[in-house]
Amino acid sequence: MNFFKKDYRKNYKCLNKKRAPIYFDNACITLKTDEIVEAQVSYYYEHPSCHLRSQHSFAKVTNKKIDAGRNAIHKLINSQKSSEIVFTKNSTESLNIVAQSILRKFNNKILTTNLEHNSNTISWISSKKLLRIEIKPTDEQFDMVSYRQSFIDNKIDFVSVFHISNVTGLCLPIKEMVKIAHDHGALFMLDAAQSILCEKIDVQELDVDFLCFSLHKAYGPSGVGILYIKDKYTSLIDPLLLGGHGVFDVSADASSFSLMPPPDRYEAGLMNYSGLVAVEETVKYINEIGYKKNKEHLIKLNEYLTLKLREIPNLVILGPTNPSLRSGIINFYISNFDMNNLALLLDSSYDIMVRSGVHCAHSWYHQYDLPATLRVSFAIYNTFEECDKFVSALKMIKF
Amino acid sequence: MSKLILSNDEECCGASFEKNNISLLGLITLSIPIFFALFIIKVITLNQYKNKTFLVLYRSNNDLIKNFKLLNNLRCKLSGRVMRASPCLGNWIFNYLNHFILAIPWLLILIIAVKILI
Repeated sequence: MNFFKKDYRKNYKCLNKKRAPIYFDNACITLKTDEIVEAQVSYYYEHPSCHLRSQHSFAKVTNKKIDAGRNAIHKLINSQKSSEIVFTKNSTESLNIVAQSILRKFNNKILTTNLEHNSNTISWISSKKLLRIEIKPTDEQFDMVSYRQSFIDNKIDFVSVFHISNVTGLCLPIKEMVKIAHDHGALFMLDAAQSILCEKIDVQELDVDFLCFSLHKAYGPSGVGILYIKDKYTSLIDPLLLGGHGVFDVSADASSFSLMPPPDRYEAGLMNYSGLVAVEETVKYINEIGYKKNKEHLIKLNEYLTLKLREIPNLVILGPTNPSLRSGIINFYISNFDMNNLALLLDSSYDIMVRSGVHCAHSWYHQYDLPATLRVSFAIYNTFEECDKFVSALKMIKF
Repeated sequence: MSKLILSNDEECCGASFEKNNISLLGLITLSIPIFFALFIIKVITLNQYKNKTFLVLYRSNNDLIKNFKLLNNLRCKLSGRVMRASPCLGNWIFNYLNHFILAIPWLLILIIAVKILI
């Protein structure tokens, strides 16, 4: 049934232990292949140095590897120039960099949805300009009518939405949404944190103006986020941090300064170099799997597990009923049972790692008065056998 | 909307989101005595007493006690570990550990009372 599972599982040390855990928390963070871990470790052993600061041979290797990583991302998302790719800590930082400049420079409304991750809600809240399209827990698809109407009823400067929801797995029709936003003179930011592995992200084809994602959700190192800024909008976005590497010159009386050109101006201070040198290896791995193969695998697992979960009484799945519309995410609750306790029980009894709670979407859970839920999220190394074990573990627990 | 309790110890991105506020004092003084009194009736009548109010009272107090977060990590970890060897015993520990802990004050009172009387 799992036509490629063995080849992929063997690259993960923690899945090849005698008592291998079942790791179903991939929407939070994926496991890393041995090659990607080794690439990070090699930085500390072989060339521990700063990027673009020193002239010695260690620094040259670091520069070369980080530039190669940037080029790899540039090719992965098909940006026009590699200078449009900024390295950050994570998607949250990427969203904040854009949000803070946009809020300072635009006066009209910011359009988003009520199902965004906190990073894409809190960043905009302070402005009181936030307008949110409603997505209900049972919605099968995004309400494009309301979206279109928002532009007619309001003056909207900026749209910032997720591509695939980390809560329900719902996927938004981004290309169509971008076109509507641009037709009404609004800029568009895409949070691709959950979609980078299973949707084709071509920034030129989608025509998004800003895009962010994190490599820790894509088999890559922790602490490496990506921010794509369309070349013509770099003058619009100010750096979040100043100092360190991002500065070109400072006047004698320290009353003025000039910044380096993008992307360096956004990368002030010491970066996560061990992570950055592993970017190229990560992109190589992402390309090796391919988004089509990855998506196909996740949906097959989702369809299989959804079917099995329907046998469990009082279990409610959030989001579209059709699993193929939920990518690799199944988020559910069982009436009258605390899902946080269930997550703890699954971990301590059957070594099954899942995520429970409100998944960084507090506002949405409050709005629909939902209890904490349990989220299963898949990756390339997950198998049908693991789904079977998960369901039999659920059946062992008396709810 | 129900009140939210978010613990700062383990709370990250709503990881331990909880919507019920159950009072420890209420459980010890009310729910535990009611539950055990009804439990004794259940045992004496060999589980044949099927009065609707009785059953609702029994189940709701049982749920209140079970859902209270008392040494919750320990309860989940302990019952989870036991579940590996015996799912039945693991479930039993998960469902009744709170009852046992909350009954301790009453057991102490009972022991002291018995000692005084003797």
